[in-house]
Amino acid sequence: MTAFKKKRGYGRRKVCRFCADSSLTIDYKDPRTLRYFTTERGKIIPRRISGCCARHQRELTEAIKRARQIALLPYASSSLY
Amino acid sequence: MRHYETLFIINPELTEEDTAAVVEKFSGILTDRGANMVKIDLWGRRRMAFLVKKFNKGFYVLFDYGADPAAVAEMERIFKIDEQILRFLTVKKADEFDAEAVARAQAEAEAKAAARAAREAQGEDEEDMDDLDEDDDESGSDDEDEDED
Repeated sequence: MTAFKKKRGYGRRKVCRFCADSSLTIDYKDPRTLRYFTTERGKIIPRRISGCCARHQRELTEAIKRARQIALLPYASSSLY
Repeated sequence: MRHYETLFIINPELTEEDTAAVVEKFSGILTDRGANMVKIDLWGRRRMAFLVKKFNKGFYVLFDYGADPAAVAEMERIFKIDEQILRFLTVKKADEFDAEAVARAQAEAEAKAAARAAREAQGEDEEDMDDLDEDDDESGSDDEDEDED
């Protein structure tokens, strides 16, 4: 924990949200949840920033890409900001 | 028999009857080929994230079913031909379709939903508001963290 802090030089160690809360599920049909893991331009937020574990990040990217295919999430959005 | 899920988008400008007819047509294609329909979920008209065939809205429909790969292939072939279908996406949920297990899971989910509805009805709208607030706060704080990095 301390080593982690020193390396990052900043307070809180991030925990994977999906590991911490088992009631949260990753589903491509749920764009509201997936939106938290994309930037406002529609890019997928990387693991080093979102703090997701490898497994959940993998599921997340899969879900986001599926949601894009079916027009639930944007590929790129310039309309916002 | 495999367990699939198909989400597709119908032209939003169709009348209600025409939309129902399209849904009927495609569920018919599946059931004619021995598919076992678990659920047909009409999400209704909703905004899409980007324009598809110059529409910004679409009528979403979700099928949950067990079927053979050939039936799915046939349905997708006709999806491509049908001009009223804007997009479709099929996902395999499981290699084996166990009708009993699916029915059980569905009954459980319904019971849970009913229980929640009953609880919410009891707690009135006050509780609803609290729930919403919690959700928003969570997302807000996470976004901030991400920005700081």
